[in-house]
Amino acid sequence: MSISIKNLNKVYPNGNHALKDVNLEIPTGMFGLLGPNGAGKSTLMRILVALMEPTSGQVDICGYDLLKQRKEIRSILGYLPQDFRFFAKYKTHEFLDYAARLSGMTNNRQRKQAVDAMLENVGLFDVRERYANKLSGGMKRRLGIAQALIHHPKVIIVDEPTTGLDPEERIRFRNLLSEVSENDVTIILSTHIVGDISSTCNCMALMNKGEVSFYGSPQDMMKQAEGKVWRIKVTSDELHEVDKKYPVISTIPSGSGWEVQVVADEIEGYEAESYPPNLEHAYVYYMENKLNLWTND
Amino acid sequence: MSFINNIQSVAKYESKILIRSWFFKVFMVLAILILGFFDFGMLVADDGGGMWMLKALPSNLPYVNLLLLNTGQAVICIFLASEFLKRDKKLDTSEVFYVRPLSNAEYVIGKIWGNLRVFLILNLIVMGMALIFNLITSGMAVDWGAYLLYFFLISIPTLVFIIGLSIFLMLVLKNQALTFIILLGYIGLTLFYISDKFYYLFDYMAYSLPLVKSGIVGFTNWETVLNHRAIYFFAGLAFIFFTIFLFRRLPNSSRSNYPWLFLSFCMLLISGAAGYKHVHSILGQGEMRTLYTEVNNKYVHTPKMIIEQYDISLEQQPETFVSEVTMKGLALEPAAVFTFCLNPGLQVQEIKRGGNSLDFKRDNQILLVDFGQEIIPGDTVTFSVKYGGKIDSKFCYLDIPAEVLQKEYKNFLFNIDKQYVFQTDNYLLFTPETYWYPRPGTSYSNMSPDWQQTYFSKFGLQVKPLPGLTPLSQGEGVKEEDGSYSFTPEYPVQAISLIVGKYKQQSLESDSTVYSIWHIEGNDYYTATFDSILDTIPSFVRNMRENLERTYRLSYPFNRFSVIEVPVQFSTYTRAWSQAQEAVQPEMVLFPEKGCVFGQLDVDRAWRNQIKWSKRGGREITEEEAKIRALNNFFWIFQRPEGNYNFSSAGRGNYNISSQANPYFLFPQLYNYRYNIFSPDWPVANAAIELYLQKKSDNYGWERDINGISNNEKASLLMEKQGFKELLANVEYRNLLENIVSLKVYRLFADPEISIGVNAFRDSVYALLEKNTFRNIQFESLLDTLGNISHTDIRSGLSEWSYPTPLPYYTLGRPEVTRITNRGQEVFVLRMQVSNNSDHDGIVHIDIQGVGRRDQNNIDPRTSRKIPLAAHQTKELVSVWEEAPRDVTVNTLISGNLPSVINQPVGNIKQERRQNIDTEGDFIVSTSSQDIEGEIIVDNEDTTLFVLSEPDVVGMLPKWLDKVEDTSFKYSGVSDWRPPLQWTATTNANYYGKYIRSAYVIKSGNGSQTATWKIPVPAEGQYDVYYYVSKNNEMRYNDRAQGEYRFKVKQGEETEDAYIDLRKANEGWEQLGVYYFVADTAFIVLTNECKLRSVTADAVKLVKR
Repeated sequence: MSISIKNLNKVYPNGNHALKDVNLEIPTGMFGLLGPNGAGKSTLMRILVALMEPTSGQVDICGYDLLKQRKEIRSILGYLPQDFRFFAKYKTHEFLDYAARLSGMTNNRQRKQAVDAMLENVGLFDVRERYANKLSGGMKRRLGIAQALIHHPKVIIVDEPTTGLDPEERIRFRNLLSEVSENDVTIILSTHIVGDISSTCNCMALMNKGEVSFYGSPQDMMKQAEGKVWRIKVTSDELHEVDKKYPVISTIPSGSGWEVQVVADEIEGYEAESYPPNLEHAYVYYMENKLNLWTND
Repeated sequence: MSFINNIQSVAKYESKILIRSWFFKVFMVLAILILGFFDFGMLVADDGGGMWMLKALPSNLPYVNLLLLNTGQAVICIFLASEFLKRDKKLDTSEVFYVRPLSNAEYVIGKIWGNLRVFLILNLIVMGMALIFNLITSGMAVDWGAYLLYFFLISIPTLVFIIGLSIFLMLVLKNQALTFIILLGYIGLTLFYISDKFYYLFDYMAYSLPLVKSGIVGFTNWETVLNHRAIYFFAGLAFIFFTIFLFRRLPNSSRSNYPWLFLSFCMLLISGAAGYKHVHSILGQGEMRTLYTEVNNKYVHTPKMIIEQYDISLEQQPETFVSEVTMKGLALEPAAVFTFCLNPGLQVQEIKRGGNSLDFKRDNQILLVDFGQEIIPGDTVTFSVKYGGKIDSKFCYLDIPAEVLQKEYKNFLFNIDKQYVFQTDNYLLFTPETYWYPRPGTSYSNMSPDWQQTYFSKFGLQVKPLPGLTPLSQGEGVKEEDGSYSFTPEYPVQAISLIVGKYKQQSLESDSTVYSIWHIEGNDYYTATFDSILDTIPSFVRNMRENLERTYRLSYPFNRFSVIEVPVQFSTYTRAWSQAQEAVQPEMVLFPEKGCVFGQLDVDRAWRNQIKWSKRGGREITEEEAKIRALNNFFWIFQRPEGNYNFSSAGRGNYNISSQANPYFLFPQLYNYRYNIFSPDWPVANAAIELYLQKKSDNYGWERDINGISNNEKASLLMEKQGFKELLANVEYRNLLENIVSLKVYRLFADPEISIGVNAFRDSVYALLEKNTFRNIQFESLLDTLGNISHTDIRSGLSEWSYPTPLPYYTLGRPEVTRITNRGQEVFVLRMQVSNNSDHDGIVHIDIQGVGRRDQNNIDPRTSRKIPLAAHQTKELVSVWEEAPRDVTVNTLISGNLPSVINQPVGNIKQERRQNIDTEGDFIVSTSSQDIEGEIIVDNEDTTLFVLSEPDVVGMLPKWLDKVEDTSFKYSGVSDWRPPLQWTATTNANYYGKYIRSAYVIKSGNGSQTATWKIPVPAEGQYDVYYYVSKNNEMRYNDRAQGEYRFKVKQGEETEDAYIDLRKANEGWEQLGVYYFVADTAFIVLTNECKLRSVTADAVKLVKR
């Protein structure tokens, strides 16, 4: 296993118990960390990249103990934080060069080549002389991933990377990560966007309220929701009632009424048709039924 | 390697940010521009200020450049250095660098180095620029080492310290604004308030630290300077390391932070140790000085000798010397053991008398020689002392208070270290103050003045200098075959000095006196300039000499006169008992190298300026004439009694100016090294006669206008409260000492002067002195002799010196002149009344101008004379003149009158045609009241009838920042251009006052401040109300100044406004209006609402119609 997390706890000074006995085994490849906002994903990420100290527990990354061997871990790590917008007065290539230098790339020529290649790779070569602050949101994200990848880390941790990106940028981003993941690296992708995971990860965990509530492959997760996704046709008057009764995933107008997708163990009182679940359905089902989180108030 | 790599990486990108910040760019451009203009103006520009201090000592160029830059960057650094912590917190992208494998130390050090190196580069640019100016300035040498030296001494410790401190504070306080405020406050505090405390302990930016480097001896305070800079360098490192420890990022390994904490403590310890050493050395100096004084006290009454003949043989060694002195002593009292004083840094090896060793004891500076048998007074003994070592300079100037010793010696921005002795392997300077050879008795004792007894001795000195060096002393130096020099002054002296260096002589002979300049090799920058007027120089030298001799009626007694170049750090002080400073020694003046502190010594520029200035004045002068003028300006340095002026301010609007004695004034050559007046009771005897002969002027003129009170007036007021000896002992009044002594001696000699006339009496003093050239004169017997000559008992006047002097008060009538014509002949009769209204007898001095002066040497004695006035006596002074007297100046000498000197111009001259001419003389007349019936005057001096409003409330900060004012004198100077914010009392002849012509002045404002005269109205009726108007400089010099004083005239419930237009008003009583008052009190209120800068509250007069 690439990363092994045992009994990890984090209690903030204000008493907020952000991580509760988290145990996770993260294999090589893309690993998705799914969960609602405030589930503890970012806390876990920040602990994994040694920006934050856990209250208790053990983390082993590629054989290094996170509590004792931060230097080694930092040298095999690439990290893209959740917020990545404000830069000091650096040009795009300078920022990447700075990151590369700090990662131990001391040979000037090689580093310059690597920086140029990486800028090419993420499509920023043309704007390499532009100040990083002047880049668009998507470009900044790409610069972010570039800096995380520049030194060919073994472990890449990206926290909510696609938030705020347009669909095209998001797809590009996913593809980039997928490509990288083929090189025997571990990529931890934390997100609350289900689509990011379903399309890229072969292993994932679902976090909620500081605990890991699911661990497995996206397929496993989907399996759990098989036969629990329904399509109901309702009139406008009924729509409101359904919305109150079940977790609604989508509502599409259809002729005189509405076609509503819901997740539920069974549907009573409406004409319902079973529907093959995707990861999003599974996520909603999971949150609703397993964790009894669903409230439509 | 990765340590260095990482630091460099962080630094590189930190530097980029700094260079890209506008703040820094603006600072950099401004710094380069300002310093560039400064250098250009001072060195290159034809019309610039020109600064000889820079050109004469080239090391001052990098010094002043870095000093100025450093002051700026020390402030800017605070803003920029603390920025990175804030930036890291604010910029979310910084985190991606935190997850890199570099350590916290690498990151923090990298950041600091990044900032630091940008500043260092700026320093290098500024130095480079200075170097270019240095190279293109003709005739200016380049001190390469100084560039590096000042960089390391000034810039580096300052930057390390302030960057370290600011990031540390930022990390602890977590608030940039608060950090700025604290640090800026700290800078302000160190710069303006505590800069010179404990020998500049708090001066982290080396702004006040004495760092001027001599071209002769280099730095003289190396240890102190290095130690001082170490305090801040290591403190800076401590802060940096502590920042690493506190840095909010998980360290690479769990324990990797602790070494930094440890290192930080180590650095703090080193810094603290350096600080302790610094303070300790200052305090230690004080302790040693106290010890030396106590030792002197212990031996001050032990038996002493007079040394008739000294034969000193001295061999200079690197850093030390060995010497043998043979002395022929004359016992003053019967004893076997006699006391001598020798610098405590010198060790005595052996004392011999006639081949036999004598027992001796050393107690610090004291050397007790046991002759083994009683020596009877009048007997002489010859003995020799072998000694040597290194002079301890802490021993010098035990009489000078520590605060005076520690006071900075500043020339423009250049802080110069103060040294009294030099003893290096290429330079040596011992003045008598160092006690470099044994002298009888003790040095300064604060218990008894007995120590001061000095006597004239004959000297022989043989010096063997280190190879290549030339020794100088009193007498002509004759080089012997063995490389030694012997000096045998032809006249006896009180003490001799020794100077050894790479000296070269330039001399000329005139009237059998050899005039020399002894300059250090390579420092002859002036010969080329004066080459063309070489022939005329002797006549100018003669001129100067004659001028001095004529002015002081004393002759120059020596065969030689030498100006000897000495290191710029050489400092001297005025003493309580003499005006002679160590810079002037018999037949020599010790002059700062290249005269660097005197602008006029930039001779090449000086003569060009003379041509330029003359041209501006519409007159062409030749090059020769210009050079002669430049030369005369140089000579003037030796002729003026006063040196520099010191300005100080005790808060807004209150200013004080005081002049320092000129250490190069040649008077001591004419007087102090020739005559020796001593008195065990009155150690100031010599200074008293000295001041009497000099006729030292008090600062009555423009200086008094600025100060609001003159030094003599201050001295009078002090003398009323304290006895002479108390005043002499009071360190606080050091600056007034000369005035106090002058007044005392003027008073002492007033009676004999009245008895036989001022000039006749003076002549007697001169004659007596001349008779006693190179001899010791007992003060008391001098007074007795003078008393015999003048038929007065002068000596009894001395008894009054022990008590406070009660002050008489005088009123002066106006001088009235009548022109009397009789058969085509005309004479002018001057009448003037002077009254002594007090219970104490007094004397005034009258000067009548415009009459009786045919030429400089033929002055009618009636024009300047003293007039005694008994208590409550009025005299009418009647004198007859051929011309019309212009004005009469009355100096009330020791009196309570302020100003004590009043000049009254003669007004209208009455014409009369008669035969009989008034009889001359001082006639006692009955004292008539000067009050005129029906007139009621209330002056600001009236404590019950004159009231001022309470001062406006000012904030805590201004109150705190305003220095505590010297409250010993009620009156202070006020500036007409920047008046005080509170009613401030000042005196001036233009104000109204019976004895004290004073007024209160305040800055104009909104009318919230008032002055009120409460005037008792004796009877109901119509009254003319007058106000006493005086016009200040604003009215005098600014024709466009307009404004009116606003008054309220109140009685009962009724109030009327009244105005006086200052432009239209006449000086003196100006009518405010006519008012009807009932028999009660009338209130006249003056507000500070006025368009002029200030409002003056003086006196109000009511006259019944």
